[in-house]
Amino acid sequence: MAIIIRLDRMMADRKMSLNELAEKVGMTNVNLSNLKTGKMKGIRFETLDAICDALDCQPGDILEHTK
Amino acid sequence: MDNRSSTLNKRLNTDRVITLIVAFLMIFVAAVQFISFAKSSDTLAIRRGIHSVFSAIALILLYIGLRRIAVTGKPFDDKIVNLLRAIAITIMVGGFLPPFAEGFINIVRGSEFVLNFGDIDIFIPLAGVIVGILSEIFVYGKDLQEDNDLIA
Repeated sequence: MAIIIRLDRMMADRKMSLNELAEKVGMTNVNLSNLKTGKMKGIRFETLDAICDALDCQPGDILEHTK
Repeated sequence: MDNRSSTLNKRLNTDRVITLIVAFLMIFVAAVQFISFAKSSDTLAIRRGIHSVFSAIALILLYIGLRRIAVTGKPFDDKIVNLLRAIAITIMVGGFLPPFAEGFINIVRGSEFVLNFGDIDIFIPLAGVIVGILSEIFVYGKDLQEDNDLIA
Protein backbone atom coordinates (compact mmCIF):
# COMPACT_ATOMS: atom_id res chain seq x y z
CA MET A 1 0.00 0.00 0.00
CA ALA A 2 1.59 3.24 -1.12
CA ILE A 3 1.07 6.65 -2.66
CA ILE A 4 2.83 6.96 -6.01
CA ILE A 5 3.77 10.26 -7.63
CA ARG A 6 2.82 10.27 -11.33
CA LEU A 7 4.70 13.44 -12.11
CA ASP A 8 6.65 11.94 -15.03
CA ARG A 9 3.42 10.98 -16.83
CA MET A 10 1.89 14.46 -16.44
CA MET A 11 5.14 16.13 -17.47
CA ALA A 12 5.28 13.97 -20.60
CA ASP A 13 1.63 14.81 -21.40
CA ARG A 14 2.34 18.54 -21.07
CA LYS A 15 5.73 18.17 -22.82
CA MET A 16 7.39 19.96 -19.92
CA SER A 17 10.96 19.34 -18.83
CA LEU A 18 12.07 18.91 -15.23
CA ASN A 19 14.01 22.18 -15.32
CA GLU A 20 11.03 24.07 -16.72
CA LEU A 21 8.66 22.70 -14.07
CA ALA A 22 11.18 23.33 -11.27
CA GLU A 23 11.46 26.94 -12.38
CA LYS A 24 7.66 27.40 -12.55
CA VAL A 25 7.08 25.75 -9.15
CA GLY A 26 10.02 27.47 -7.46
CA MET A 27 11.78 24.29 -6.41
CA THR A 28 15.32 23.10 -7.02
CA ASN A 29 15.88 20.50 -9.75
CA VAL A 30 17.25 18.11 -7.15
CA ASN A 31 14.17 18.37 -4.92
CA LEU A 32 11.78 17.98 -7.86
CA SER A 33 13.78 15.03 -9.18
CA ASN A 34 13.64 13.41 -5.72
CA LEU A 35 9.88 13.98 -5.64
CA LYS A 36 9.49 12.49 -9.12
CA THR A 37 11.45 9.38 -8.25
CA GLY A 38 9.57 8.84 -4.98
CA LYS A 39 12.50 9.57 -2.69
CA MET A 40 10.53 12.16 -0.68
CA LYS A 41 8.45 11.26 2.36
CA GLY A 42 5.74 13.82 1.71
CA ILE A 43 4.54 16.86 -0.18
CA ARG A 44 3.17 20.17 1.14
CA PHE A 45 -0.23 21.42 -0.07
CA GLU A 46 1.63 24.58 -1.15
CA THR A 47 3.96 22.56 -3.42
CA LEU A 48 1.10 20.42 -4.74
CA ASP A 49 -0.88 23.59 -5.53
CA ALA A 50 2.09 25.08 -7.42
CA ILE A 51 2.62 21.86 -9.41
CA CYS A 52 -1.09 21.64 -10.28
CA ASP A 53 -0.99 25.29 -11.39
CA ALA A 54 2.08 24.70 -13.56
CA LEU A 55 0.77 21.48 -15.13
CA ASP A 56 -2.86 22.64 -15.22
CA CYS A 57 -4.14 19.48 -13.59
CA GLN A 58 -5.78 18.13 -10.41
CA PRO A 59 -3.92 16.56 -7.44
CA GLY A 60 -5.50 13.23 -8.37
CA ASP A 61 -3.71 13.35 -11.72
CA ILE A 62 -0.36 13.44 -9.90
CA LEU A 63 -0.99 11.20 -6.89
CA GLU A 64 -2.03 7.57 -7.13
CA HIS A 65 -2.83 5.10 -4.38
CA THR A 66 -1.85 1.44 -4.88
CA LYS A 67 -2.66 -1.61 -2.72
CA MET B 1 10.32 34.14 4.67
CA ASP B 2 13.30 36.01 3.16
CA ASN B 3 12.75 38.87 5.60
CA ARG B 4 12.74 36.50 8.56
CA SER B 5 15.83 34.74 7.25
CA SER B 6 17.75 38.01 6.87
CA THR B 7 16.69 39.11 10.39
CA LEU B 8 17.92 35.78 11.77
CA ASN B 9 21.21 36.18 9.91
CA LYS B 10 21.70 39.69 11.34
CA ARG B 11 21.02 38.42 14.86
CA LEU B 12 23.38 35.50 14.31
CA ASN B 13 26.14 37.86 13.16
CA THR B 14 25.56 40.09 16.22
CA ASP B 15 25.74 37.01 18.47
CA ARG B 16 29.01 35.95 16.81
CA VAL B 17 30.58 39.38 17.35
CA ILE B 18 29.44 39.54 21.01
CA THR B 19 30.70 35.98 21.63
CA LEU B 20 34.11 36.79 20.16
CA ILE B 21 34.43 40.06 22.11
CA VAL B 22 33.51 38.36 25.42
CA ALA B 23 35.90 35.46 24.62
CA PHE B 24 38.81 37.89 24.13
CA LEU B 25 37.76 39.75 27.28
CA MET B 26 37.89 36.44 29.18
CA ILE B 27 41.39 35.70 27.82
CA PHE B 28 42.48 39.18 28.99
CA VAL B 29 40.90 38.63 32.45
CA ALA B 30 42.63 35.22 32.69
CA ALA B 31 46.00 36.78 31.84
CA VAL B 32 45.47 39.51 34.46
CA GLN B 33 44.47 36.93 37.10
CA PHE B 34 47.46 34.67 36.38
CA ILE B 35 49.83 37.66 36.56
CA SER B 36 48.15 38.66 39.84
CA PHE B 37 48.67 35.11 41.15
CA ALA B 38 52.33 35.17 40.11
CA LYS B 39 52.81 38.42 42.05
CA SER B 40 50.74 37.77 45.18
CA SER B 41 50.25 33.94 45.25
CA ASP B 42 46.56 34.60 45.91
CA THR B 43 44.63 31.35 45.32
CA LEU B 44 41.46 33.33 44.54
CA ALA B 45 43.27 34.74 41.50
CA ILE B 46 44.09 31.23 40.21
CA ARG B 47 40.43 30.23 40.71
CA ARG B 48 39.25 33.27 38.72
CA GLY B 49 41.95 32.67 36.11
CA ILE B 50 40.85 29.05 35.54
CA HIS B 51 37.20 30.09 35.31
CA SER B 52 38.13 32.77 32.75
CA VAL B 53 40.21 30.34 30.63
CA PHE B 54 37.41 27.77 30.51
CA SER B 55 34.82 30.49 29.83
CA ALA B 56 36.96 31.67 26.90
CA ILE B 57 37.23 28.08 25.55
CA ALA B 58 33.43 27.60 25.85
CA LEU B 59 32.81 30.95 24.11
CA ILE B 60 35.23 30.12 21.28
CA LEU B 61 33.45 26.77 20.78
CA LEU B 62 30.14 28.68 20.76
CA TYR B 63 31.57 31.07 18.15
CA ILE B 64 32.59 28.10 15.94
CA GLY B 65 29.04 26.71 16.27
CA LEU B 66 27.41 30.05 15.40
CA ARG B 67 29.71 30.44 12.37
CA ARG B 68 28.74 26.96 11.16
CA ILE B 69 25.03 27.76 11.55
CA ALA B 70 25.54 30.98 9.56
CA VAL B 71 27.31 29.05 6.75
CA THR B 72 25.03 25.99 6.53
CA GLY B 73 21.79 27.63 7.71
CA LYS B 74 21.02 24.50 9.72
CA PRO B 75 21.21 24.68 13.53
CA PHE B 76 20.32 21.02 14.01
CA ASP B 77 23.45 19.32 12.82
CA ASP B 78 25.78 16.57 14.11
CA LYS B 79 28.66 19.04 14.49
CA ILE B 80 26.52 21.51 16.46
CA VAL B 81 25.46 18.69 18.80
CA ASN B 82 29.11 17.70 19.31
CA LEU B 83 30.09 21.34 19.90
CA LEU B 84 27.34 21.73 22.52
CA ARG B 85 28.58 18.56 24.25
CA ALA B 86 32.13 19.92 24.18
CA ILE B 87 30.88 23.23 25.67
CA ALA B 88 29.03 21.31 28.42
CA ILE B 89 32.16 19.29 29.30
CA THR B 90 34.33 22.45 29.21
CA ILE B 91 31.99 24.27 31.63
CA MET B 92 31.83 21.26 34.00
CA VAL B 93 35.62 20.76 33.98
CA GLY B 94 36.10 24.51 34.49
CA GLY B 95 33.78 24.36 37.48
CA PHE B 96 35.48 21.40 39.16
CA LEU B 97 39.13 22.20 38.33
CA PRO B 98 39.96 25.06 40.77
CA PRO B 99 40.08 22.86 43.95
CA PHE B 100 42.48 20.46 42.18
CA ALA B 101 44.62 23.40 41.00
CA GLU B 102 44.70 24.81 44.54
CA GLY B 103 45.64 21.36 45.89
CA PHE B 104 48.45 21.09 43.34
CA ILE B 105 49.69 24.58 44.27
CA ASN B 106 49.75 23.46 47.92
CA ILE B 107 52.02 20.53 46.95
CA VAL B 108 54.34 22.90 45.06
CA ARG B 109 54.47 25.11 48.15
CA GLY B 110 55.41 22.07 50.25
CA SER B 111 52.05 21.64 51.98
CA GLU B 112 49.68 18.67 51.84
CA PHE B 113 47.39 17.97 48.87
CA VAL B 114 44.02 19.14 50.18
CA LEU B 115 40.87 19.18 48.07
CA ASN B 116 38.37 21.78 49.20
CA PHE B 117 35.18 21.19 47.25
CA GLY B 118 33.23 23.48 49.55
CA ASP B 119 34.33 26.52 47.57
CA ILE B 120 32.95 25.23 44.26
CA ASP B 121 30.34 27.52 42.78
CA ILE B 122 27.61 24.94 42.16
CA PHE B 123 26.02 27.06 39.41
CA ILE B 124 28.99 26.51 37.07
CA PRO B 125 28.74 22.67 36.82
CA LEU B 126 24.95 23.08 36.78
CA ALA B 127 25.26 25.36 33.73
CA GLY B 128 27.34 22.59 32.09
CA VAL B 129 24.62 20.02 32.82
CA ILE B 130 21.96 22.34 31.31
CA VAL B 131 24.04 22.81 28.12
CA GLY B 132 24.51 19.00 27.99
CA ILE B 133 20.74 18.50 28.18
CA LEU B 134 20.30 21.14 25.46
CA SER B 135 22.63 19.13 23.23
CA GLU B 136 20.32 16.11 23.63
CA ILE B 137 17.36 18.30 22.62
CA PHE B 138 19.37 19.26 19.52
CA VAL B 139 19.70 15.52 18.68
CA TYR B 140 15.89 15.37 18.59
CA GLY B 141 15.85 18.58 16.53
CA LYS B 142 18.30 17.00 14.06
CA ASP B 143 15.90 14.06 13.55
CA LEU B 144 13.02 16.49 12.93
CA GLN B 145 15.17 18.49 10.48
CA GLU B 146 16.06 15.33 8.54
CA ASP B 147 12.35 14.43 8.38
CA ASN B 148 11.47 17.94 7.21
CA ASP B 149 14.16 17.82 4.51
CA LEU B 150 12.34 14.83 2.99
CA ILE B 151 9.11 16.78 2.50
CA ALA B 152 8.86 18.61 -0.85
